[in-house]
Amino acid sequence: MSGLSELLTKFSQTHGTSGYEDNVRALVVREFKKLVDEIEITPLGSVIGIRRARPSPKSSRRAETSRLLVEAHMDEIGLLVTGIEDGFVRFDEIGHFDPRVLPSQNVLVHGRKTLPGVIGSRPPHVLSAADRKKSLALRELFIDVGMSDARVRELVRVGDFITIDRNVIALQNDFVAGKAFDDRSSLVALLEFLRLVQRVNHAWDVYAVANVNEEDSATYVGALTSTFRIRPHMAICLDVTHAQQPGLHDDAAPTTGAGPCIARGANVHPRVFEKLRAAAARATLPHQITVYGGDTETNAWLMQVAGEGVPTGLVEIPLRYMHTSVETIHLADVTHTAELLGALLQTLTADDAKDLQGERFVRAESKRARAKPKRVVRTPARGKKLKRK
Amino acid sequence: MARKNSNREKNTAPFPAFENQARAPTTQPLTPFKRLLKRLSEAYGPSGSEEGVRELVRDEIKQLADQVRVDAFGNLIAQRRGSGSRRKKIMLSAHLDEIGVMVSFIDTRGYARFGTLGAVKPLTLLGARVQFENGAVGIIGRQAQGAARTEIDMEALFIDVSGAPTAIQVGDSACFAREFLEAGDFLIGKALGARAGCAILIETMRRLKKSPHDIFCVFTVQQQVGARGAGAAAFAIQPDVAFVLDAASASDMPGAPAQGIALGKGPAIKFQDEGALTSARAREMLLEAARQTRVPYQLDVTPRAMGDTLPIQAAREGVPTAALALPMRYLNTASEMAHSRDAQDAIELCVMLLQRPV
Repeated sequence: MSGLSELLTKFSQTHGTSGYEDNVRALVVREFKKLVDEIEITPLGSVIGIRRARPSPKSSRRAETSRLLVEAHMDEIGLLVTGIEDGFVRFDEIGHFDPRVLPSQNVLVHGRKTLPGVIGSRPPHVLSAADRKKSLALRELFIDVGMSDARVRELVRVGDFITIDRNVIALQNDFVAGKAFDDRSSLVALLEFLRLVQRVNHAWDVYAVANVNEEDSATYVGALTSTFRIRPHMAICLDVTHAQQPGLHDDAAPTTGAGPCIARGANVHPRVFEKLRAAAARATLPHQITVYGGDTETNAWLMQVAGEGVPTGLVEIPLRYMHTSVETIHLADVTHTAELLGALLQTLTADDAKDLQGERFVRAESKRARAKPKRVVRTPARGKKLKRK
Repeated sequence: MARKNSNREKNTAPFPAFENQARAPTTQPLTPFKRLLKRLSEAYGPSGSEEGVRELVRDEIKQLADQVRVDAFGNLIAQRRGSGSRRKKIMLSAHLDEIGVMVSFIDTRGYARFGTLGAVKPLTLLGARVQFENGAVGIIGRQAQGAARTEIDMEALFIDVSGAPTAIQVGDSACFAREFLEAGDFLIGKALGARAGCAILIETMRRLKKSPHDIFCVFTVQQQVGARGAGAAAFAIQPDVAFVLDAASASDMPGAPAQGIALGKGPAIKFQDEGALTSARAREMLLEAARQTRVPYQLDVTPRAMGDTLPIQAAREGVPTAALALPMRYLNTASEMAHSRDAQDAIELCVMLLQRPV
């Protein structure tokens, strides 16, 4: 598992919040180049890696190859510079931190230069009895980069982004802890899945997508627009979910190390859920089931309604301490997520797409209705296109 | 996994120096730009009833565009073709609609109950005059709530149209009735946040002699009730890049957050809108245009107000979208206040933005 752990470390320690994904995007493109046939970047900055179908020689030819979209978001939660006071940096959040976990964190301020900083707070000695009981609000926190006011103003501007500076720690028994495992652990599972299917025949094209802008405001604009562009026949969203931990003893919550969670509920197409579960069962992969009445608070929520609507599934990696700098997962859950996706891809036949595209009923005597519907012509995709050499 | 509903705390840092005190109203005749702004500000046009103000804008923009149309949703789209060989489709949008109230019940004496359109606060309504599309005017009154009550509930308010009770019907909308005012360098009026964006867009097209790009000026409807018009326009136009012209809440007032923008220091380039981070690429184009024209500008990170950014950004395969805002005090009241130099700087910046190659 060392290759996987290395890759996760690399992705976790790359810095890029929602709206500022440049560094992560560069890394994704570099990794995709080894694994896919074509790479596209959408107008908003999401990366699409296309691995064309490798049908087995026996299979019949089809006019249009079906498209399977598998995505993870590449942005992380972070902070945004709102002002500079006497050389100390004030900030707002991008996505949602619990402000109580921020004091004493190491951070990187991504200004004209990348500056290491620390989030300071008043020492306990000078606090009143009442203040000692209170936690600090976001607006009371500040970053110390150890520079004069004038020098900070030269290098840092309002609107620059800030990330937590934290290296990945290997715990015992293949547990690892670090920042941005939401959702870079899924991104690593996506890459691992692409690696697994390199020498395998599959009837569907695979569109692997690293999306921007998931963590800010829950509008999922990156996933919505990249899914619109691809018009997939089936889409799988990869994200993380809350696992059991002290203080969270929900019977329904999944356990770390017990396999990826296949989600079920209004956000998930029932046939996609069945296909995922059948694939897991056939490959005898450990898996768990999570249930959502409505909004899953993932990209899946808007991927489902992109364009004419997309049959969407959701696979989640169980994770402890979400949105902190010590998000903790079990590496086997990442591997099993990749294997589950591999198993799913291999079960997909050309007929499966028809099964998922809805139905059309025509009254027998209606001549006009019997006429064939016009074929929808796909507009050529825009944006950058990098062909594999 | 994203999380919704942050319990964001209000920033109540000490207020900065209170500069630029408003001077007494001037008596000189208004410049053409201010005359346009006056007409737009005083026009009737709450969300859903934008027809009157749309016709005003249409009259202004039609000599300045190759083609003008109104889409099915009610957005006004003016198009000007560019001459460049590597031209892009650039969309600029401003919203037509303003906040308002909608009548839900009228009693026999001529008192009307109402619902709200957009971010209307009960505090700002007390004693206000409101105007209906047909010119009828009502006064907002408040029913007795007991002497101790210091808060105002929206439910306790009513519109008094006893002067002409038959002039209005259930479902009619009204907006503030308030005259536009010029006070020194400051511009004051109702709906100024919305209409200054429209005026800046019209004036930009007037001054823009030549552009390499295909330009689409979109005057959107129903922004105040959830940014509902802009997405339809962006879906139809499929622009390569889009810019939203809007207002940004200034904080150069007593008791306002210390970090923030001020009037008279240039237009604000926004980093966030409600539900959206503006796109870095489009933001960079604004910054570059500002640097080339050397107009002052401010960077606006904190306030998250309703805006057209998200629906445009989310249209089809995604549209890089940024927002340029006019700093404004007392937003969503009958007396929104802006600085005339900021408006001129914004126009200059927009003209440069459209002249440059992308």
